[in-house]
Amino acid sequence: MTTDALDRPAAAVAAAARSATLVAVEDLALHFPVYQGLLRRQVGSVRAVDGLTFDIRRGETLGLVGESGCGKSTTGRALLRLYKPTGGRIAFDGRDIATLEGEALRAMRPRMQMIFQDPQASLNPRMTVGAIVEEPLIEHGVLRQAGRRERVRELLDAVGLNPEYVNRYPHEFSGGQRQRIGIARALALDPDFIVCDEPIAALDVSIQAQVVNLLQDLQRKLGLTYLFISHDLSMVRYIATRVAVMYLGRMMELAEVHDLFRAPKHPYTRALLSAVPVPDPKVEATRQRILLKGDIPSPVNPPSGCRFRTRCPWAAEVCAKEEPEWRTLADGRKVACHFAE
Amino acid sequence: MAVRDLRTVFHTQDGVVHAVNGVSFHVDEGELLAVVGESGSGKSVAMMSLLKLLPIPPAEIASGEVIFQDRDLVRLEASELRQVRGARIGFVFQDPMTSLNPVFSVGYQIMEPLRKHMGMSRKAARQRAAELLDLVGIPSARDRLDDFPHQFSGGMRQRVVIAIALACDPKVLIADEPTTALDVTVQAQILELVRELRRKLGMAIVWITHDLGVAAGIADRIMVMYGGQIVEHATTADLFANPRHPYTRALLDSLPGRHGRDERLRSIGGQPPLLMADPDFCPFQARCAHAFERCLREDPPLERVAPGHDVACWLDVPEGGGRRDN
Repeated sequence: MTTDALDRPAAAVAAAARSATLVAVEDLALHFPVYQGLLRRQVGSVRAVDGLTFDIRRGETLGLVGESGCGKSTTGRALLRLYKPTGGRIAFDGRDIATLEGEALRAMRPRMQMIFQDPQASLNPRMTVGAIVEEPLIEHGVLRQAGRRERVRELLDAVGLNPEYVNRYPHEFSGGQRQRIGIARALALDPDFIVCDEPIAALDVSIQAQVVNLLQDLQRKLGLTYLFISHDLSMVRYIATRVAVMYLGRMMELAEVHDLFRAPKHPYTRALLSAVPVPDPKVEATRQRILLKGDIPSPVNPPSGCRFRTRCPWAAEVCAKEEPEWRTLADGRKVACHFAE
Repeated sequence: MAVRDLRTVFHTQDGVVHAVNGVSFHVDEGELLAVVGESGSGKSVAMMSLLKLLPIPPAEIASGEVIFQDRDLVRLEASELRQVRGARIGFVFQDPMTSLNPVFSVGYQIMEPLRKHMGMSRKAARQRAAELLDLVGIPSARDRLDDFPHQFSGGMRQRVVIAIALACDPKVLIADEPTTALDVTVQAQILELVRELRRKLGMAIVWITHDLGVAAGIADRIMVMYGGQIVEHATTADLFANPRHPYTRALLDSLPGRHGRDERLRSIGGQPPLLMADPDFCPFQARCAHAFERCLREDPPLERVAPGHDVACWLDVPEGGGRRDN
């Protein structure tokens, strides 16, 4: 596979290396209103994302993990401004995009893209592959017709698809190939930042490896920054530089991938890691599991204090009263727990 | 239960799809057999065929026998088969929301098989339903009998489905990806529940999964399926320590965490085959790094290569897997 055709001018790469942080998020919140009754009065809100502070470094892959309903997809979409945040700031390459509107926001869009979970649902079945990949180029007025065609062929080649397939339709491809089409579309506008929302969850194990290898090749070649949202912790461990763990709309822990997997500090991280099945019967037979009781509470009415306390095996009195601070430990990791040491 | 040479085909507009091609296996009392394979490998269709849980037509069980308690289930009349389903053999499906009926209370749905199959009175069935919910770990079970499925969370719903499957004290439980739709922490709870139920009840379990980690944690034996056939069968310890079929080895190699972060993941190129005819070649040959001329001509039979270890491959794979190149 060749990605040479997509190489950027050296000057652009150098310019992009100015600051180590690409995305800086401060106190990000996203609440969805809940309406009820005959008059559709607002009776509360789903606090899907409720006060996140973190940053994404240029060129890294930040893994974002957590169980369904914890707000990880909402976070990814909010970073791309597919939702309007209820509160907080999102600085993308130094510019606050949380409140941008209209043309100013549109001008930022080419720099940040998304790869979706279900390639079947995210590709229009009535458009050819060529038209799907070309659409962002037309939309943003990049290149003339002949140049666009050439670019589409380059992109298909870069993701390992035969450029002769431009006139085929999505249903003629397998799941793994469809995901490649989605990746080609995301790359069309030469973005800096891609949110990968469960990009391999719908694929078989043997196909997952192909897509993950492709994502890594492209990252090296193009200097991309990824937010890799996944519930597959073993894949996150393989691909991520740092990992953030979410629970019920808040971040519990954020650390370098080695630190997080070797010595998780937050009780939720520990429980989550211990629940992942290991494909080795010897390990499975001897390992200690931390079994959590019950289910995730409702984000409409989260528990007081620490959100995890209702399921935490080590919860103490203080956990119900005070919300633990999002603090930095000696080794540089961030954690929200009263008893992280 | 013993299955011999089971073949299931689907009659479609584009021709006959051979989904299951000559599957033979057995599962003993108190044992957990995991069936591992990718989507389209025929693992679900094979297990659904055992109880004719497929729409017939387009599906057709072309040949084979399923011997259970001295009877061949394939040849049973529909009414006789109904007495086996849900009574002697229980089923748990992947998605608990679609396998429960949203308009009946959970208690009613657990009582239904008890009254139909075991002829219990309403009162006795209700008593037993509460015990079952308690057995699968639902808190204050008796008070929840009149609740409806939507009032339970995903993990709790799957517990209800397991309770229904266990209602008539089955000899065999077939579980089709029962934890795939659940979060890992909930999956861990369900796996723990199954370990505990096995100790208490001692039935045979056939567990279909695509997750080798899950299989490693709960299975006694593992059967790997590909292209509608069993390509390898061994005890769990043996399969992971000493995989012999190229597909099994490639599958294990494609998992992250089996090698370092700096190494590329080893993917299996290509796609699984779509079998429009009874295969006269090895189904894996197109993606196999070791395929040679014979693999294109003949479909390898499942042969015993070591005690309790069967492989369907023309290659004589050396002990310990000396050749690892794909």
